[in-house]
Amino acid sequence: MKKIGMTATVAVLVILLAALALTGCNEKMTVEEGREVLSDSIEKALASDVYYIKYRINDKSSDEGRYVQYSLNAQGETAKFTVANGSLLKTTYDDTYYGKSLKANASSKTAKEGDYVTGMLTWQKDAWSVSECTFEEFLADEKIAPYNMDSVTGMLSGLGTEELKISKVTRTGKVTYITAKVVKEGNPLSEYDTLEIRIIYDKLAYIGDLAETFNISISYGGPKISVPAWTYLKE
Amino acid sequence: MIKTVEKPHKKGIIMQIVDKAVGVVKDFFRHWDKPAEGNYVGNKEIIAYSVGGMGVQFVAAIAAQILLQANCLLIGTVYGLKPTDLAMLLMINTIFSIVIQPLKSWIIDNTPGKQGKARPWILWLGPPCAILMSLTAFIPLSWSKQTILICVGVLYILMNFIYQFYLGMYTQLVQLETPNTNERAKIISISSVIYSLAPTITGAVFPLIASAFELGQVDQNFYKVIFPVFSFIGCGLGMFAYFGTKERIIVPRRQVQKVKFIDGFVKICKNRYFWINNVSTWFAFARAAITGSMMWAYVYMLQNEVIQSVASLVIGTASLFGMVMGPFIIKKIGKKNTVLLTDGVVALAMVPLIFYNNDFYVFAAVCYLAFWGTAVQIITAPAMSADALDYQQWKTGDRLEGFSQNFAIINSLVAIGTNYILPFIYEYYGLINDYDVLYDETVRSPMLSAMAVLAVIGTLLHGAPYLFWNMTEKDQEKMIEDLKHRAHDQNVLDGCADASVLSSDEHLNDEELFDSDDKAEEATTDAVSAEQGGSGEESK
Repeated sequence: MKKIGMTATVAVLVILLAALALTGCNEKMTVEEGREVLSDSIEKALASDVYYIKYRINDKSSDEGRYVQYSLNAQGETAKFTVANGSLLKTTYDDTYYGKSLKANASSKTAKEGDYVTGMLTWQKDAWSVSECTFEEFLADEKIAPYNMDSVTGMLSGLGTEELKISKVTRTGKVTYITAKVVKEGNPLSEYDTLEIRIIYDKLAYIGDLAETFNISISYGGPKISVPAWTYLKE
Repeated sequence: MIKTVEKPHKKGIIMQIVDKAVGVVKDFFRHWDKPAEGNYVGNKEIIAYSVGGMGVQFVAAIAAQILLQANCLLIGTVYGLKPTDLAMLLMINTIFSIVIQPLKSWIIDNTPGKQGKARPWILWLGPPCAILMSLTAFIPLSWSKQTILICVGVLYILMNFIYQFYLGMYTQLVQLETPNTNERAKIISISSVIYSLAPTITGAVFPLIASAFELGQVDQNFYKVIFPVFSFIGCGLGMFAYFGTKERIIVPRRQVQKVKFIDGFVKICKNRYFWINNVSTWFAFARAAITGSMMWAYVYMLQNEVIQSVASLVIGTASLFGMVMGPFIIKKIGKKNTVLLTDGVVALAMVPLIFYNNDFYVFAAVCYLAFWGTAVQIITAPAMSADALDYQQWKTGDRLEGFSQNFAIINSLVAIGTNYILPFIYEYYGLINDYDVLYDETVRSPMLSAMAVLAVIGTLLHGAPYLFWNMTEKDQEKMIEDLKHRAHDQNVLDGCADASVLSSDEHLNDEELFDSDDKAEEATTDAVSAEQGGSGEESK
């Protein structure tokens, strides 16, 4: 019985010590260090061509708990933009794609260059329509532009000490947490109170307000995109 | 005249196999109602237990979708709850379990009616379990995270209590169906093979059902469909385990067991085998760090529902092989060595994942071996728990199925601390409340390596307590013989010599009752020598 007791005690102590050691990994940083990390993280975010941005706005005034989420999933030069309108009862989705789309009656195994169209696909009147454009033009489309990487990082980019008031910066493992408030007039983030900004592996990953009225999350990987075939070309 | 003597015709190998198979089938039906010599349970009852097990496993498949863990798609990804918040809920659940445990133990040992200690609970707990599980899928996403957290917490605590009770009673039933330890292993093996069809079906079918929904396995509507359907199917099938089985513990006819809570707890604490079984479970969380992340591998790494279905089916065979091989391995090297062997294999299997952390097929291969090892231990764990209970009865004369569950109090106290380890690892590597970061290999891969290291350490610690297990299968057999003698002698003293020594009232013939007088005498001497640290207590 003594041996069992000793073994168990040692094992439990090992686990507890490990847990304590891990807990001690919270590191406090200065505000200046926080600004530097934030600035670097924005640069790295802008350099990524694979990302999955989700911009969610919760309607706290609604009894039905309405929300809308704009998601931009970009995998190189293939992308999917989704608008999800959700409520207590159901959620509807509106998808827009960018990429190479195969003609409906063409087979991918025998397809030639002419059987593909590269452009923006939208679902309209029970069919897909394609408009040829470049990826930059797709990202600049008026319904997509506010949610692309330039716009999202642009809300925090270049803000001075008086425009972005950082109150706390800590790091736990690979995550840096910044608590801040944006006071620059005209900046969309200035209408929210305290913000939490997270930087994961030195890339901007999350901006959200503590009251949960909105949040933007960015991951540098995303679900696979399957661009649907189109049925007719519409300019 | 030369007589031609015909040489006997040697059957081909295929014919020999066919004959063997036919023999097995005939033997199976010969013992459909009446068990084979030395056994207590007919094959009809084994099948009923097994089909009931399928039902319980359908319920378990749903329970596996409702874990207070970050890698649970519904609770983590869909409801968006933070790992540390989930760890806090788990702690609350643990405290609740600790507080309610003595009551639960008392309820088990004082189960009303004469249907046994385990069977009635399978009948009574199935429906409420299914209802609570179903409700968990219908929490509106529009509610604030705080409200969702509270709802998940309340539903989980109630559901988990009832579900664990239900599952525990099904597992315990096999320990009570027969006092023969080898027969228990056989029943567990057969029933495991049959009931493992349930998770194989759900593993293959769930992704295909999910593909009908916009967001697949991270769509709440998917859970709104599968939870009510499969939990109620499971509850219905589970009834076979009630209606088709009997409990057979060896007790004198007029024994009235009355053990005070403190006395029972003290007795249990002096039983080294309960300690070994329970200390081992303290490290199960670490061992499951990788296998519990299988869904993440499918959703975030693989992203192919067809391959996922195939992979699920293939990986499902690991459990099948484990459960089929289990009794043979146990027969060859004993239960203790089987546990040590399987934990060694599982620990070794986890090592490649530390270095190849972004390859789905390496992950799948690691999980295959891990599930194989776990499946073998599905047979050893309840069998060794039953051995510990038999030892307790032999040593002090008490059947303490209910009291033995009070060990859960100690296990829960340990779990309060260990429950925070995995969530801490997740948040350390960047998994907070947005689970889509797992699509990013930069976040996912180092985290998997860390979890693999934890799994290796946890698996080795899981096996370590069994180095102190010194009860062999022969020791257990001798104890059972001794118990039969004592029960019979007590019946004679109580004036009911013809009464059965089994709680099921089934009568054993003289040969079954008295394997041999020598064996009984041998039992008294050798069973005492199985004790460690001093002489055995006189039995009551």
